[in-house]
Amino acid sequence: MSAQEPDLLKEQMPGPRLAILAEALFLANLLIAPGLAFLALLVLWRRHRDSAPLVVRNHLQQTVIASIYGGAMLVGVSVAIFLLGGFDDPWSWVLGILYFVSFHATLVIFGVVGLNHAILGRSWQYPFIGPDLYE
Amino acid sequence: MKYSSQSVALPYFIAAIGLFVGQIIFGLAMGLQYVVGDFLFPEIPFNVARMVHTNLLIVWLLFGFMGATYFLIPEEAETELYSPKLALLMFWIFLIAGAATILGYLLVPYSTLAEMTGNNILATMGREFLEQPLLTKIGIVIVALAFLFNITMTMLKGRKTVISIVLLMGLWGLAIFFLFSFYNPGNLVKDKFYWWWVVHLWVEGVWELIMAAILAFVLIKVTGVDREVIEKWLYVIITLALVTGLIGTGHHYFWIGTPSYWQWLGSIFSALEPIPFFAMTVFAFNMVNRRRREHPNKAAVLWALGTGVMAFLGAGVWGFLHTLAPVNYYTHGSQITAAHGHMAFYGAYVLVVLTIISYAMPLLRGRAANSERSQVCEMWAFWLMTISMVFITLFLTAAGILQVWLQRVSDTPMPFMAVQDQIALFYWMRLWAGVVFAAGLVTYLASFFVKGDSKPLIHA
Repeated sequence: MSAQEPDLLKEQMPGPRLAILAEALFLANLLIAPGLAFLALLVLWRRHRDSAPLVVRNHLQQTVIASIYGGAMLVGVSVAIFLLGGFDDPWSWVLGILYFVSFHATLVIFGVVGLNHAILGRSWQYPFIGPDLYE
Repeated sequence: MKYSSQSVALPYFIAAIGLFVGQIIFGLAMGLQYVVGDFLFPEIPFNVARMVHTNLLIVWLLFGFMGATYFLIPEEAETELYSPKLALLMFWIFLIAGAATILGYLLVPYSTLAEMTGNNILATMGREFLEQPLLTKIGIVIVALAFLFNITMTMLKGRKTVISIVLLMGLWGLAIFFLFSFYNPGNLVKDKFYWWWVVHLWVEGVWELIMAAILAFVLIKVTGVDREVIEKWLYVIITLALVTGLIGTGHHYFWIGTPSYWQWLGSIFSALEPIPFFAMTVFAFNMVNRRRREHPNKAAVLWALGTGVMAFLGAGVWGFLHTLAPVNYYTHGSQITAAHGHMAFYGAYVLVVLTIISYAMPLLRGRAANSERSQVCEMWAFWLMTISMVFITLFLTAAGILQVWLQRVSDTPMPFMAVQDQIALFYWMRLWAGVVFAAGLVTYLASFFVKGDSKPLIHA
């Protein structure tokens, strides 16, 4: 282990703070402050997208794109289910709620994995909705 | 195995697995009764099968917690158990009392059982999950006190770690809150109010401490991450669990006759209850991703990760789904509750007990880890049980949403039993998912008998 490399077995938060913040905002957007957390994430991305180290840039880009695509799929498909099925049809509710809860939970689990990679100072690509990583 | 007295855990784990099998058999029987109403009637009516299913769950998890404690406390305290003989004596008392109680449910009418066991002296029976006869409840208290005495004395003479202190806090809490099962006021509102002090404060309070401590112990062992790192996470998790879970009890107090402020308190605090489970998921993934070497027991690592994810989904996400008072107004006591209950119990408590069993069993049998073939079998069991539990939850959620709509939201609400006919399709699908779960359990049992080259223990 070189002097620069953090000791993963002993350090609490070995990864870069900005990367951890980006992933935390991705999760906050899903869990406690939808919209607001995304705006904060956008601000963070605009400020640091060109200047930050590679790992941080990857996390910023992944979380912004995954938030946009994930959010569009989460809200778009849910709205489509209700618009096509109608609010008065119980099956719209069955499908709509099951889809929303399952897809939302999937995004949260992706976010947890992303946050872990950020804490450990590693890049991570969101499955299906994340863009290619910067090399 | 570092201390010979840890071997006391073995019979507890075997009993836990045996009772788990019983729980699933009765679960399947009930699953069939949902769609074939007179299946096994009058020999085992639905209410009896349900009572056996839920009581077996509680008892086998308690066996699992006790086995886990007997295994990990000597290692944490760095000393032999205070009294292995007392631990074995309590094992037999608990097993015999538990088996007698289940046989009582199955062989004697419940009212007769109540008369036979002194319910007229102190009425404690007839309440969901606390159906046990008075004698059994007293037996549980005696076993719990002897168990806590044994564990506390062991800790007092040895090293005190954060893990063992958190575990002991959880276990003492478990015993103390069980005492409210003896309080059965005539007023139904008060009865329900304190009934939740056992049921809720167990599963969304002190059991979370036990779960977090067991998970932390296994993660230290299989990842090699520094104890200080893991202990800090443990502090955060148990603080979050207690801050949210205690007042979160209020989500059971909606519209049962309690003051209306519980709707606010219950909604706000229980909306925060997913946070400790979320932290536990991050914790499990984080520790496993940190490790630099592969632990030979890969199956235990998988169970540990599964605990984090499934507890968050079942207790956190599916709990939040119906916890806010305006939502719960419609969903209260529907199949959505059953969906949440199934995944939460499986994710949080079944998996954490199977995690410690997966880690400890090979050591108790004199090896570092089971053979590759045995572990592959065990991992198949994990995926079969976990995926089928996801489907059980999804089908019950679908049934619940349809039930709520047809029974409570519709302009022309249908009666309960008419709605049950409408959602029978989902009950059939749940039953088939249950059959796959049982197949997973059989695979799990088989993993104990699969031969192969196991990893030998390396003594320092």
